[in-house]
Amino acid sequence: MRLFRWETLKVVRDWKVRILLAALLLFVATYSTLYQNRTIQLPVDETIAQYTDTQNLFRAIPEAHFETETGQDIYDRLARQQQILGMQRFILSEKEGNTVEGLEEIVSDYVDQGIEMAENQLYFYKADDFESQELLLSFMPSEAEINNRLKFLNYLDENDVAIDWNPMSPSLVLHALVNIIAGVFIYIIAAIFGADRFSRDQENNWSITQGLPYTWKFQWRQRTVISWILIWATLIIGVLISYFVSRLSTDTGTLMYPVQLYAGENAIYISILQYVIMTLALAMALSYIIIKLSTGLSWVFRNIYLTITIVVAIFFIPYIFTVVSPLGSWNPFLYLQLLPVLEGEWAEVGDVNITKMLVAIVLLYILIEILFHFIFKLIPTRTGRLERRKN
Amino acid sequence: MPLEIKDLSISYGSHVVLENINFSIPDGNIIGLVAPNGTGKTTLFNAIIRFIPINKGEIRVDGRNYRNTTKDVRALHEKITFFPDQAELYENFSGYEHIEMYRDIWKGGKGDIDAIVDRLDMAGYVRSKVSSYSLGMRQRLCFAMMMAADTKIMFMDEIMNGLDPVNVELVSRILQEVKEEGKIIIVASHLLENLDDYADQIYFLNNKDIYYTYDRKEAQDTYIKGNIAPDQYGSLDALPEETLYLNHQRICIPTESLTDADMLKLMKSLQAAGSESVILGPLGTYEHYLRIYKGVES
Repeated sequence: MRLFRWETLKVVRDWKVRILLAALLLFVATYSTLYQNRTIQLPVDETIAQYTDTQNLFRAIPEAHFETETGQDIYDRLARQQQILGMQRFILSEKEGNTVEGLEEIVSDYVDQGIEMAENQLYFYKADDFESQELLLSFMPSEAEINNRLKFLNYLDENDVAIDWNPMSPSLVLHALVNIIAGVFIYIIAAIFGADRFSRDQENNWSITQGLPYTWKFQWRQRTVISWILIWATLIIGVLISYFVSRLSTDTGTLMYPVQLYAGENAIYISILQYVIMTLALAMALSYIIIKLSTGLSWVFRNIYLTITIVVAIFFIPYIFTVVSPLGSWNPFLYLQLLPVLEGEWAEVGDVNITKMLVAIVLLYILIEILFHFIFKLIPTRTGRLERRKN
Repeated sequence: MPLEIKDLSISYGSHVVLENINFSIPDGNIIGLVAPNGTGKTTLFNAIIRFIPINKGEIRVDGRNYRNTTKDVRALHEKITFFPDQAELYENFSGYEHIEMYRDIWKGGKGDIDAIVDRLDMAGYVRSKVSSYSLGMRQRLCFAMMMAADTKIMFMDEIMNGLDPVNVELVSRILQEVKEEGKIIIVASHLLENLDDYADQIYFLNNKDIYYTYDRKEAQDTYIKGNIAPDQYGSLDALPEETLYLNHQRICIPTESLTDADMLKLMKSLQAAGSESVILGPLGTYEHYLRIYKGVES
């Protein structure tokens, strides 16, 4: 702790750090305000589009195809689908929740209707003897999407959560903000923070910092922890401010609202609160490694730009596996990006999941520790070189 | 021996800077390290504290050999501090914070900073940011940091740089007090005559080695010393054979074979030849420096 205090003081007295933290806080805290100024598609608009699609289906499918037993059944289900979409459109436009007060008997319940509609759509996939099935399915979401939709609606039903008519509700904005933080954003912040943690001392305060009775490895870990605490304290405060500011202007939505999470081969739905906690925890773990790397590289290169470039480039390593095989889901470099894992973008690779991600983070941590174990055996000279100890 | 250096060699590529350096320094000693620029003074410090790779040799403190391992280097840094470069202080820290930092790091927060501040007469400025300090103020701060670290061995490179005569005297006095606490202090300085005020031994680096050790505790021959121009030197009456004329200026006449009357006569001759001061005493660091690095004229 005797060194920790002084290392912290050095960081917080640094104007670059102060400006960065202030900018970070400002961006994150005002995110909800900025986000709500954007033009986005409301769910009610999507419902209108689906309604129109269904109407077009009736026109496109030859009448004769509806004359078989299956055709008649499909006709009825499509008609019911159009009816449901009409009512859902009304429910969403009223902005009250899953139904409209006083009209419950007429418009029914958004979730119940949604489940019925999804089941109808799944039926379309089974109706192989329907002559226009191909045309019909071209207007339908994929089977996987329908199943996911069904899970989403079942979650709403089981947890008694109303459909959110407003995609800009505080909880959904929070979800979007957390996704931004967990992406390339955290790499850039980590890279900038770590990029001169050692090089400043080596260039400007060499004689004061070279002979300390602490190993480089110890100092490296301590400086990493300090940067990590400062970054995450700022981010969490910013996220909380952003959420509460958006709560002031909008009172819809709930932190229990479901969001999709990829788990193995299937998607599951968890609450936004769970998602935010889990994603931030994973981002915190991953960012610790990135800051560690960035701080370590600043000891090696003493060049801010080179360190930032290398660290940010590491974010893009997983894209290599869109071209080259990652040789299985245990490749730790697959997990250098958080969101593709959570969103199931690596589904074709195999069982890429959060448990493996945690293991990957531990492996990456060990890898960096081993790498720098050897690097810190070198001597950093005043002239900016690293030399091997000879005797 | 508390600090022993055995067969220490350092080279930069094929260029050998120091070769087979050997010395041992007991507790409670101040060693002056003297050499012209570029001879390897700072390199020797850097090598002992392992800031640079050494080709071969041993560094022993209190009998323990501090090898080239992370653990040993860390342990070595517990025992040795290196004088900070005043240009490398943290500009946005106060002097007090610098002293506190060194105390916290090396002594775990134990040690009276105010006593150090008072001792070095820094109270008037020590709470201000370093960016407002003059050269001399910074230099005293660096010295105060070393005092706060309070390690057994202290390397003081160019410690008197930027200090006025009053502060040179102050720092010299404190060095002697610190030595009494059993510390080993190695001072590299270009204020050669000042070294004679506090150093116990002077090491002269030359030809990649400690070429000559001037032990001030040993009995020394007495010389008549003055400064005269070469033409005046030639006009002086017959001088003793061992007379040294150094750097076309400094004359040192051994008194061993002279009577009191001869000594008085020679001193008057030197005065008449233009020497502003004529003194009696042993050869000091300054004379040895001229003898070793500038050569002797007969």
